[in-house]
Amino acid sequence: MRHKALLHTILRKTPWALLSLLIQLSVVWAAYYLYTNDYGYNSGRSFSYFISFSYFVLGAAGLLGIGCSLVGMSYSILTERWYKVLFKLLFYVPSLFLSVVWCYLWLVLRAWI
Amino acid sequence: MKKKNEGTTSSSIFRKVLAIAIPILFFSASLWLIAWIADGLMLRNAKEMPKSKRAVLAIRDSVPSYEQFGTEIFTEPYLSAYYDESYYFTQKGRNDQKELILESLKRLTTNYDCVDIFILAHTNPYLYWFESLPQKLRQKIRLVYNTGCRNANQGKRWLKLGAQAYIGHKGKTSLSPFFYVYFLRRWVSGHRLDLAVKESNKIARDEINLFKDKLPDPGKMDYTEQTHAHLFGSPTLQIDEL
Repeated sequence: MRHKALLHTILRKTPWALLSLLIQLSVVWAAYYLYTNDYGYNSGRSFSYFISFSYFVLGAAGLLGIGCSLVGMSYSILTERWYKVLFKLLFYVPSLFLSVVWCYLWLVLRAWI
Repeated sequence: MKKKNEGTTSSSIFRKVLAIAIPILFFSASLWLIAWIADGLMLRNAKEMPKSKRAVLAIRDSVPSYEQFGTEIFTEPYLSAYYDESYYFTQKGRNDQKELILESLKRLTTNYDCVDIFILAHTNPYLYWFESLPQKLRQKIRLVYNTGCRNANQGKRWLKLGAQAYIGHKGKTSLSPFFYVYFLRRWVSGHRLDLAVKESNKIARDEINLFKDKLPDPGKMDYTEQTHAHLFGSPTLQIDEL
């Protein structure tokens, strides 16, 4: 029973929509980081660093993003008023889509590495 | 009071169903959309009808793995979609899989009416490999495209070998991929060979001009001229034509 209460507290107190959004922003930040530090093809810097960094960021952002969006969406539908649910879907749906994109790219890198 | 409870219960079940169905629906839609963008959209012109008994063989030479990876993910889907049978080889050394490549070309030329060859490699001697093929089979080689620098000089020899058309680059520092990506799309879409080459040359030239100043020694190198693709043999070939 205590576990169930704890789970409810976690579900209620975690800002899922904000988290989903921040995860997408972390990918933008990672791309900007790679760009400003001149990592990448033909840069003369370590290509393996570029790949391993991208692999980590895409994998983490993809999996966490999908998790947060799905859990947040479900919990919102279960507990919140409809207008709030609809408003939050505006964040969850694009986040979910982008997270699937990151996961797809992550799988491409995974198959390659 | 009882009625109110019933209403709350049914509403709660409705919410539970939606809480499962809506995320699954959006997740499935995202997966479908990405699969469609990644594969379906790119190959939307591939015809489902029989592809007039044509096959293709492509060879990628030994270069860093990320280059090989990029070449394969771009090329292979087009070849699989637009030819009856396609063989794609990625080499790990200069003569890697030589016997297998020759055997594959022999098999394709035996089984199909025409075979196209895409040589996605730096300056290369594959021409001499294929000389060992019987002449009757060599006649079935239709189009040969070679990205190799200075490999335009193989044009006449490829035609003599049996190919109907050959495309190569004359430059010592040819930026062939700029031409190739546009050419492959146009060729498989059914453009006439000379028009596909002309259009792809134009786009490649425009793109190289965009950033040529950032390349080494832009004044002397004339990258656009070096990358220009030259067509030998039949200019009117089309992918559907035998």
